[in-house]
Amino acid sequence: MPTTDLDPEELLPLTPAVFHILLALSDGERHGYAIMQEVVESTGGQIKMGPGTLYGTIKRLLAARLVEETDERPDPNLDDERRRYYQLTALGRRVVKAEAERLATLVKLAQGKRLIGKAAHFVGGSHV
Amino acid sequence: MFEPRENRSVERSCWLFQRLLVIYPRVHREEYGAAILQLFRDQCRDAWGRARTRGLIGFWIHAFADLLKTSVLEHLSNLNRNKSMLKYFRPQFTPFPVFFRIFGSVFLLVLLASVIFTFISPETYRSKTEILVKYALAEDTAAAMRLPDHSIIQVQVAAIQSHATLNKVSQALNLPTVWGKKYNGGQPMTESEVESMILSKLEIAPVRNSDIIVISAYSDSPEEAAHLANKVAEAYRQTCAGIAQQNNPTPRTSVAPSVVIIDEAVPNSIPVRPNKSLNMVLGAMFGIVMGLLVGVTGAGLIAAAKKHRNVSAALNC
Repeated sequence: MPTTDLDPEELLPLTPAVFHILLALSDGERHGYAIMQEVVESTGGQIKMGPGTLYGTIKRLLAARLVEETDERPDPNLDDERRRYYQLTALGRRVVKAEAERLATLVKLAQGKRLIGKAAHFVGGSHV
Repeated sequence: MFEPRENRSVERSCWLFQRLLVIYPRVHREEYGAAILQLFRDQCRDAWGRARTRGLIGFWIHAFADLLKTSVLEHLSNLNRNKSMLKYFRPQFTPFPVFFRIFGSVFLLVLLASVIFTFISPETYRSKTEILVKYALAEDTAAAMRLPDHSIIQVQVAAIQSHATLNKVSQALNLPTVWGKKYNGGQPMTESEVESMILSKLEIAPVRNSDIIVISAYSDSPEEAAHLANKVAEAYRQTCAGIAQQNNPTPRTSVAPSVVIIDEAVPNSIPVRPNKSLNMVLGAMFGIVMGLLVGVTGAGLIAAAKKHRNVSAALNC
């Protein structure tokens, strides 16, 4: 089935691990360790995935055609050729966007109920 | 460039972790084992860089728990993937629900048919009269006749079914008219027709090792069955008495037996046919046999058709 035929909404909500991996890949292709670093940095160290979780999740994302493995290396001279790089597919990008919008709607809802301020900034999943 | 001590600690951790990867399913290990180990190595270095041995121990606790959790998940995932493959290439596992559906349908159909047959079948009632047949033969006469016991009984059975007896029954119960209305569209039946019908409704059976004969009569009416059995016994008794008087012998030399009715028939409200319990059991047994035959055949044919269709779909042809 062509991935363009799938409705991203059907895959929502995403688990935190899936969302953060897709978010990490939204800037461009990355290998496993780079994804891990990105997730740790973006969440302030609150989400730490073990190697088994990361590659188990990537395997499922590959099966769901949300990510794909790339053959090209950004700079083969500077990188270990054993590393495997991954990037978002068009469907993966639509899904992570839909999930972000869903979360944004929830944030607006919480703001409307004055649970959080409108100027709140989110760092690592908790607002400051 | 790493310090020697860092190198040793990280390498030992990697060596141990690599061996622990064996708990993953083989397919997953072959596909992602090297990448997982590479990531573990990178994280080990980070942990060592943050807090040396303490950081490495903390990371190991986290990584080991992650290894256990994800290995279970991968094994479960592997099982599900195998099941989904079986759906396409091993459809012989799926016909069991089909078999049970066919088996259940056939079984219920046969059972239902037997129930309907049982309840629409006309009911037949039986009544029995027991008579005692006694010969008053002198020893020399009996010896002269040289009749074995079973032959004597057969003679009596034939006598009960004789025209002389049956005609008396017919006249006593006015059967040509009664049965004419019932079975002949209101027209009186002939004597021969009535006698044939009486015979078809009678069952005469001697009791072994005794002089007792049981006369059973069958009818769709309990009362008629009882009347018929009693009248046959009475008619036979009268016939025997008539023969004895005609011959005018002394009781000592009479060849006609004396007949004593020892148990008169009474209407039996419970029909002997159809035997509802027996019919249900037979219907259920026949339903099981037919269900098995049709179920196995049908499920096999459906499985073969599905296999052909699924394999064609899987191969996109």
